[in-house]
Amino acid sequence: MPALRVALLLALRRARNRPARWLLTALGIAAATAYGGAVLAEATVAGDGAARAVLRAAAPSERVVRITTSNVVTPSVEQAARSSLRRLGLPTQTEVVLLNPVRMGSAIVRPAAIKPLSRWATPELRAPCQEHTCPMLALGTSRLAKLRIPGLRIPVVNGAQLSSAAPLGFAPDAAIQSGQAPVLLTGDPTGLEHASALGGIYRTHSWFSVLPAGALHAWQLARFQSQLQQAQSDLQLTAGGLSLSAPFSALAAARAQADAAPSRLLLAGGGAIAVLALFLALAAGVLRQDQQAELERLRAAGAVSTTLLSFVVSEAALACAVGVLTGGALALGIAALLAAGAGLPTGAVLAHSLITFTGLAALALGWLGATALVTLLLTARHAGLADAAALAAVAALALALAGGGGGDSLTILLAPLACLAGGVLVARGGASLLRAGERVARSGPPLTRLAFVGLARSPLAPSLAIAFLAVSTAVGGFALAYRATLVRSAADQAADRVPLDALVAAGPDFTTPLQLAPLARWRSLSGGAAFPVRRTDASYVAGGGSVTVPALGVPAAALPRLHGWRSSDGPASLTQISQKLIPPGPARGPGPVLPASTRELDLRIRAPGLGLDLVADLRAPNGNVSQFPLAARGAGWLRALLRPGHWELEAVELREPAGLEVTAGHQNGENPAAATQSSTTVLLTGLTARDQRGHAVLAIPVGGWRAVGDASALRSRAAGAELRFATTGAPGLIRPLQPVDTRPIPVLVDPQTAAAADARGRLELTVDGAPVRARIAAVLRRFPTVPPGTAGFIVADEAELAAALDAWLPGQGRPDELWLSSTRPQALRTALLAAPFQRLTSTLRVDLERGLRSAGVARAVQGALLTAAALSALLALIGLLVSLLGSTDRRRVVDDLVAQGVGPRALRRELALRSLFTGVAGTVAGFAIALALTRLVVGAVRSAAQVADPVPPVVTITPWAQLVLWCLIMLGATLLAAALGILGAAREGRRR
Amino acid sequence: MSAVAVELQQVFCVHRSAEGDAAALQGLTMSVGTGEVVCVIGPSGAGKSTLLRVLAGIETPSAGEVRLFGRELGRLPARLRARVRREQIGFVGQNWSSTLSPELPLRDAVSLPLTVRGAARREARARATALLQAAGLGGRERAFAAELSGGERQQAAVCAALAHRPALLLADEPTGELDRASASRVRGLIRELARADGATVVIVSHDAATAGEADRGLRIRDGRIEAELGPGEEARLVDLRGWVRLPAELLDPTGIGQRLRVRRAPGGAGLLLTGAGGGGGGGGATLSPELSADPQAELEAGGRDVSWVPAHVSLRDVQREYRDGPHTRVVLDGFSADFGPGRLTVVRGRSGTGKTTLLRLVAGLEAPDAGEVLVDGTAYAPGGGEALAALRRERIGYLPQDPWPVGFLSAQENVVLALRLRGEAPARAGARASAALASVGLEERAGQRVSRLSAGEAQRVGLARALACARGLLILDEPTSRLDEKAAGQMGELLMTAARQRAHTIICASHDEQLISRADSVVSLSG
Repeated sequence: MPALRVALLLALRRARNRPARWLLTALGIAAATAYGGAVLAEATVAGDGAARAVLRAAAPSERVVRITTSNVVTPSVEQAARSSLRRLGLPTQTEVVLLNPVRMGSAIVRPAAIKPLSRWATPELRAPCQEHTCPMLALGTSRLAKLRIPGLRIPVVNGAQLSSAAPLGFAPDAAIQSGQAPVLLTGDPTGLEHASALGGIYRTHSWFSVLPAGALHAWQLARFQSQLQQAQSDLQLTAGGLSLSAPFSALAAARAQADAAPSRLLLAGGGAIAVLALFLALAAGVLRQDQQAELERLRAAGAVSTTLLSFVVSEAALACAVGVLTGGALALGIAALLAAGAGLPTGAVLAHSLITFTGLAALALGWLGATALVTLLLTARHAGLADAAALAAVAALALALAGGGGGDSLTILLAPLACLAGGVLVARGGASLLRAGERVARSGPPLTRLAFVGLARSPLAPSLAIAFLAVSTAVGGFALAYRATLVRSAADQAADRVPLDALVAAGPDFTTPLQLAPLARWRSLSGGAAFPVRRTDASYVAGGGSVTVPALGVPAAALPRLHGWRSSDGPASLTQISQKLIPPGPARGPGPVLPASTRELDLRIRAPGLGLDLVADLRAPNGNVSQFPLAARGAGWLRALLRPGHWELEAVELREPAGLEVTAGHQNGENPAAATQSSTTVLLTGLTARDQRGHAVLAIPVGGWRAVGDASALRSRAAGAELRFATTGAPGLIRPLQPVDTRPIPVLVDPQTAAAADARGRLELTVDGAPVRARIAAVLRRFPTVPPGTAGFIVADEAELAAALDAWLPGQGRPDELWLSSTRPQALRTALLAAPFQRLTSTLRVDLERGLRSAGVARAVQGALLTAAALSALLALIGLLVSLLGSTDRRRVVDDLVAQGVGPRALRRELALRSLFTGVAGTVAGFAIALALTRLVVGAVRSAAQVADPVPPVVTITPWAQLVLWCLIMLGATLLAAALGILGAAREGRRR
Repeated sequence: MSAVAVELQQVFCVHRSAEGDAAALQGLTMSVGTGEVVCVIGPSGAGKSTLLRVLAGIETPSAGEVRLFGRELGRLPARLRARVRREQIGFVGQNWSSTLSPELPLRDAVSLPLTVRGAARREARARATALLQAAGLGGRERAFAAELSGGERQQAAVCAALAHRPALLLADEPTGELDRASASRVRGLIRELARADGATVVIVSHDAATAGEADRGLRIRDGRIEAELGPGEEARLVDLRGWVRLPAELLDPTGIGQRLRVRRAPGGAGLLLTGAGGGGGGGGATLSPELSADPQAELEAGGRDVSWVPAHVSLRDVQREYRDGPHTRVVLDGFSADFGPGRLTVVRGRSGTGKTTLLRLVAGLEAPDAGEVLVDGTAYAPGGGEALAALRRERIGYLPQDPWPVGFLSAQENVVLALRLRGEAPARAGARASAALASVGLEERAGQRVSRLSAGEAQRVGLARALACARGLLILDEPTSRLDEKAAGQMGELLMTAARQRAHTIICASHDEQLISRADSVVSLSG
């Protein structure tokens, strides 16, 4: 203990007499601690951001915590449900009663009650539901004027819109479109419950709250999940059959993001801290020099090694404590700023990042670790440990590179460690470099030679300075490469999902963009080009089975405009590929154009033994195909009444009667082996267009038409056709000849699909049930918007695909999404958010790209790396100055030179020369290390990505210009630091 | 002689370096009795400091035996050597800072050797207080070393070295940086305190006065003890193998050259040495690195065209003060003096009286707070850093008090650098540097880095450089502080020659009597 007492006394005295001797060490540790703390805080902030992004991405209907019962609702049941929600911190509740569909007169409707109704539906409905009269709103329709069943009259007072699917659990508009019963809505659940006429209808009664997207922070998720599970268990024990449903999967996904984010960030930060630790080698070198005299005195005084070690440890521990405490305080400040910047409660962020048991333990461990490291550096007699660490890091780097650059989260840690190894290598090789410099300067002017001889013969400090400068430059270079790769990857991912500037698809109610506005309007909105796209599936036979792949109909003209296309994605340029996709002639052959005065179509039919439903398919000038039923006008005489317009006759469909179709469909479902249930020979003649007065305005001969589907041509008759109709559940069709009847459509396919083609490159596809013959025009490795994990893809020209589909089922070839190329994305965004286009699902590429680039973890890792680069660069410059100026030997040399008549200018030149050489050596070495490290960038970006494997795959981007600029900045900063040092030295010289 | 405390037999110690190996000790044999105060004197580079390091067990000999109180030190592992050092040895260095921590108040600094050995704090402080009182520093226990004069610091350092009552006190040039009075006080203190505790003392010094106050004096040269100093004549030592070292000053007058014939003297009482041819005279071999008697001739041999303007230096009412926190210390107050060409002026005075300040003012390294410094009637311009640097290059040869030239350069490179800064062509600078180093007896060490030279050798490099570079004005701060008596005398001759024959204005701060006795004028500073 006396040894420790003496050591502590001496260390404290030294601290009191000249605290500046600890400055560099404490500064390094403070920087590392502050940085580590900031990373920890940023990890919490980024984790929270990532978790909330997951929750925000879920629609309100997917964030519902709902307690449901189908039993009788008593006040105690309601109380239990409501208090359960309240205990979960969800005071804003909605009560919903939803009945099963019920026939009321001629209509089948689905009564429901939502309270408060005004929160979810417009317009408002104040009238309560009474036992015999229950005024209601009709969702999505207003045609249901009077509904009545015995004992209850439901006046439909208005049509209404529901703002969310949350209350009912589905979107009524979409439900209606898919043929389900329309929903009637009241705001009085109790009244509806008491309507005795509906008493026998099965119903569910629920109370729900929507989790606000921003209400739950990452650190609250685990507790909330646990509360939900507890509530779920508790409700199961209560009477009333209450059950709780909640967005468990969304919460789990959010929590997974929150948990993963800090670990990834801390790996990057931890690696950077390891790099900053290299600074300690430099700082400890200065402290070591200062300590040597004291140790010599202690030795002379008879101190044993325990005392000497105690002294070194005491001083290291005190310096580290100052550094750790200062850094800790700085970290708190930075964390508060980060929290404020992210709009998060400062106290909560601190309480869940720094002021935690882990945080404080990390601080204590950091202090112990730093003390151990500084002690080791102060007492080490050779660099064996550093060499071993460097070798280990090099081995790990080699392994990672051999494995293709890595991809797991450890890759982020690997890069800074490789920096560290590079730094040690540079430090070890620095002496040789300095000796080479001396040889070059041998015949130079005396002070030039002195500068180089000084560096070469006292190489330790300059080598360390060069190494640290190199590492700082390399960390910065890596950060820039990471950033460039991340930006490129984000751009590529965004372009993969939105190939042009915007993609507009059908919304939840299945309304397609072209149903809302014609193509010309879209072109006008976007200020650029608008390309209709058909997205469906195609299947083909391969290896004895059927393979289904996404099929896209994209206008060939859109291909050259695709963003994010890589030369490796295809065999030629996009322009060349688009040329291959363009068909040799028109995609579609026109049908007979009906005169504008046409109001009806007549047709004579003879189909012995089978009553057929016939429909005329007419194409409007905008490409939409409308069906007009040909109703019986007399025996064997059918007539369709047309709306005024410019029509082109696309085809005549022949269908089984609806009842027979249902029966046959059922039988086919029961016995797929059964082929045709019924067939007949059909004779069609006298297809005539007539005006309003019944005068024929156009006779349409169908003798040369083609029959497809259930229909097949037997022979042509004068102005008529004899067909064979065999029912399979699919329609039969008779139509004019189309180009697709005689030639295959050119398609772009992936290699796997291409392998299924015959020797001539032909593929027999089934698209939407229609047989389509395709010819492979080119094989691509990737095509945008094709979801990952599919078995392949097929891309055809949109018009060609539409023609092929319409040839089998007119109207089937309609485009369901639009790819927009815009010159004014901001205006387009505004338009898409406004009525009526808000019903559609619209995505802008720039928004996606921005979102991906600013994804919490990726951005935080990027920030951590850039901050580490800036911090290490700053410390490198300080270290450089100290190593060049601060040593006792240096001061002695300067004193001697001044005494020998060397003037201030010459001293400045000499110092500038030393700084320049050191700076250039460090920067060049750093540039080389940075280039080597770019091999690890892909792995690092993938590790920090929110998805496991971004599509398209991440590729290394080496930002040459930025790297060179960064090196020049480092060099400039070195010279600036040298200039500051020169000024400081001059000031000190004047003081002396 | 009482029981043997220290015994060295045929000790060799070789220092290896990239520039070549150097044998610091070459078969050194000596012994010291318990309680004896022995002073080992010798010129710089003779191996004095290495001897102490070997005795302290810090350095292990390359060959030979080192016994301390009967224990073979050279064969002990480092851990046990450290233990011996801790238990039995006290150490005083040339500079107080090697013994006394500047970070601690005197009482704690002096008691440190006791506290590191586990002594109770009160006991350790009591011992420190007693020692400080014995050294005349009673009442300064709470002061820091920086607040004391040079002599007082060294006295406190002696107290610290003896605090734990070591059996052996080793002192390395303990008075080298002190004025005469302070040196005498320190020597007395060592003797007094060591005797009080019965300690054996080995002091190495270049100062004959130190040897005079010891029980016994030994002369070391070229890594061997060559003689034992007596009241009148030195007794040449014969080592166990019969080797005797005969210095040039003994051989030269006899005409014995490189060979001699040894015969038993008539009657068998002694040996008769006569020359045996082979070189003749004493001029053939350099027996020791002494200063050339005529260095100027060697400078001329370097081929320099000697033409400079004699320098007239005047100080008019110069005032210089230093501020240390709230305290102001006036070093020079209204000081006036003239220094003329062809004159050697020695500035003397106690430590801290402003000798170095005066020299730095003349060299333009400091500016006076008031008054003027003039060279040839022109006052130094305030803030004229470049002009003053040019003046130093063009006119002044300067040897600072801390005599270390650039440590990472060799002796030759240091002198060449200084000459090239003054515009000499590389080839001529090399030739002149070689001549200048030869003039101070360092031709054989010219390629060695200065950081690897002894303090005395480094001082001689600085001296050679100052002599080679001076163009009318030579400023030397304590040029003989690390030189032995003979070398100091030769230095005095050299400076006289430089002043008389070359018309240099020489201003030299020193408390060396040999130098003072050769001065044309003496300026005494009393502080």
